[in-house]
Amino acid sequence: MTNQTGLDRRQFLKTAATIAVGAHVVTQSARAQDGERMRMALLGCGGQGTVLLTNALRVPEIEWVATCDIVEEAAQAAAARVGEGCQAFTRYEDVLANVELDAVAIATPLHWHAPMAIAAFQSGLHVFCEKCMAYTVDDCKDMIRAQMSANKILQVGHHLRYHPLYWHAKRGFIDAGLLGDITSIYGQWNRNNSWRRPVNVAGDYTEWGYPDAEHLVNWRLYKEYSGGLMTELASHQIDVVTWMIGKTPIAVQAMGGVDYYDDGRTVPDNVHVTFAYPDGVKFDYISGTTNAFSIFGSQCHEVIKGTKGTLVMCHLNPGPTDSAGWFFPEEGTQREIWMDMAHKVDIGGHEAIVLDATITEGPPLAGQPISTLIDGEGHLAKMTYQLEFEEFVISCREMKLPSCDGLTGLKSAADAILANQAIETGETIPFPEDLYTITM
Amino acid sequence: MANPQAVDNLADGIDLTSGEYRLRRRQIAMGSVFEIILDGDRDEVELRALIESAFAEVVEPLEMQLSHYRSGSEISWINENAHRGPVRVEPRLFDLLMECADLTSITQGAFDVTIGPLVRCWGFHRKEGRVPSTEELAEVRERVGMEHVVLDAQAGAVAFDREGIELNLGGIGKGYVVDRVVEYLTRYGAHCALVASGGSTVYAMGVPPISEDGWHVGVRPAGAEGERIGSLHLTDAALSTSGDFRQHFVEGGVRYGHIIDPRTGWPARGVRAACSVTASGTRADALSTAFVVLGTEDTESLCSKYGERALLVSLNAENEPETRQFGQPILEQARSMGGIS
Repeated sequence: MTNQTGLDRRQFLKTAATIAVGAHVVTQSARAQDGERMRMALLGCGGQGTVLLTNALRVPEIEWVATCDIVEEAAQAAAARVGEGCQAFTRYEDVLANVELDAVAIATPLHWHAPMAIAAFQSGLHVFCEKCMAYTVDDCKDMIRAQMSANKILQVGHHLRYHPLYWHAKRGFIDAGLLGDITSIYGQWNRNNSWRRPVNVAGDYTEWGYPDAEHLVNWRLYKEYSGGLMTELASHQIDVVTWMIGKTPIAVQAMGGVDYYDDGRTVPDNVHVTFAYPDGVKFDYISGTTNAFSIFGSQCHEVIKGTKGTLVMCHLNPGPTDSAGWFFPEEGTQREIWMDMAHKVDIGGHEAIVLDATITEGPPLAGQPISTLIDGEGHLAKMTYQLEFEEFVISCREMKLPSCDGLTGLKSAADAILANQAIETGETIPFPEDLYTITM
Repeated sequence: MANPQAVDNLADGIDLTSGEYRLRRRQIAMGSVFEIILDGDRDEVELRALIESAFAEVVEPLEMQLSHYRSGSEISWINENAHRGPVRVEPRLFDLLMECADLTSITQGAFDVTIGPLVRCWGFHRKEGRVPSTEELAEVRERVGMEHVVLDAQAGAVAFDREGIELNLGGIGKGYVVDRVVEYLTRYGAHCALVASGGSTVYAMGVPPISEDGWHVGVRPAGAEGERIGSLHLTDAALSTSGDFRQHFVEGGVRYGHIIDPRTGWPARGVRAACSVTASGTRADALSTAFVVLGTEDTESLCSKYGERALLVSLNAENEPETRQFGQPILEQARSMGGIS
């Protein structure tokens, strides 16, 4: 199979070059210079916004000066979490118009990512945007165009890009060729709950697109606002696969539906997806809401299979380390000498080599050697959410592409969105050649 | 994979009496089984959403915040940084730390969340108990004591006055999470629920449909195998148990339980298990541990002074459990076994 990923390398290089050149020609906001704190606003103070804020408060280079949520109590609670000097708003336009800022972090429902990010770029700000990047492929591309016009940083919150164990898997196993030829991948994020939230707010939110408070609180369950399991969960793992194997899909087949929870939702409560990559590689993915079983002890994992071995990566572990990874050498393949000395465990009757990211070599992550960010048992020195904000600060100050930039976010968003199209149409969706191409 | 180090087997001393209720969900959290029973005349979709979101929005985030096992938790962050200067913490966590300090005060130091280094020193964190040397114990005790924790209410910040101090909410965190779940359920209009953490702390909200007297809860000597020592009905109150029946080791013919007296650095002796019934899970969790440490006389004194209720379980010369109750009796139906009074 020929490489038809649709990635326009020239356009990518043009994107990267534009940003890199900007480091020398752009006069940055005075406040974002080295030694001064970046003034940031949080747009969206719900569950994920709170997680981001809690972790980002540990980054001393960031000064949170505003919070914003259409639910006033949420904005106020987040501002109180920050403390004195942080103002609460209910309209993001007011934040952009009235607060002196260097950057915003966006953690709103998906359909608001693009309008807010574009407005922020037009206000001359850097943007950290939660994943999934945006509601449509065009939204993603509009965000990147706005970013390039503003010559600012766009970082997308695929936080596994900031996970030491995943970096170790990439550098120490995949790039080192220990898996041989990667031929297939399996991923899952299975839970056993309805994903529905009780309605805890009152008020009129029709101006923002929600006919009632229930639609606001449960925005993930409705197609008008979200791509459901594909955008809210799967996009993380699609990004991991793209990163690990260095390829993007060429087609997708999928099934799914509202098959169990008859509660008015419009996004599937289960998705079964197969992505096809160049060279015959397939990625089978399942996300469901009625059974959380996993032989690896984590509801969320990726299994990358090659001719010489299998790599398993887990996060959201029930244990204390939040993550774990193992390598299973294939029977009959030549083993590396170090494998005999490596720490091993038994998983399902198979000998599994425990991934130890303390020996990871190579470039630093968020300015820090990866070996210092995790211990041999997988305990993280810092949460991935903190590391992504630490890198965001570096990227903004030095005008460097972050590990998870806009183009990276576009890829996983587009893949998730096309998988949803495959579910809706029941057809195999070939990936357009220009799917990831940005034209100005 | 669950790491056995994360399993903090606090006393498994509470039996939730079976009965009819609309919805029940159990989930591994904070190293134990967290359980919510929810009842009420509401739409099933609503009830399910409420019970699921209580786990997703309260239990799981609080575990991430409070666990000293989890690197990256707010407690770990404090432990790693507070000796260098004030660390601003989430307001509710700050309130909890203030309550910890208050509980240390009213228990005369028998409850202390800085006890972590002592727990490690005795090997209980890995369930590999051992008697430390006198020198080791003395060195570790330098790093234990709530007086080394500076709580700045104005700044909402916590600082340690020396390196090596650490916060370990193992003796109060589960009760706190129970309270936060109860608060969450109440906010969403629930009025009938049972919330339990690890079988050691339970809060009973309202009255179940099958009993006007409240939720029927059985009590066993904490962590001990065998039958209940009695039961009680709970309404809008918390019950917590602590004990060392399950976690202990024997060395040189001496039995050492896992509940350590922060004031001496040695495992508590005499009382083997204790129960507290009080208005909040947070307080009940802490007091049940403190009662084991305080022993009979000081527990009686505390109950008298603060209007608390305590049940203490000891073993008599025939190795049979004996109970004593202070304040309003906790047990309504006590089994006649051995020296139970």
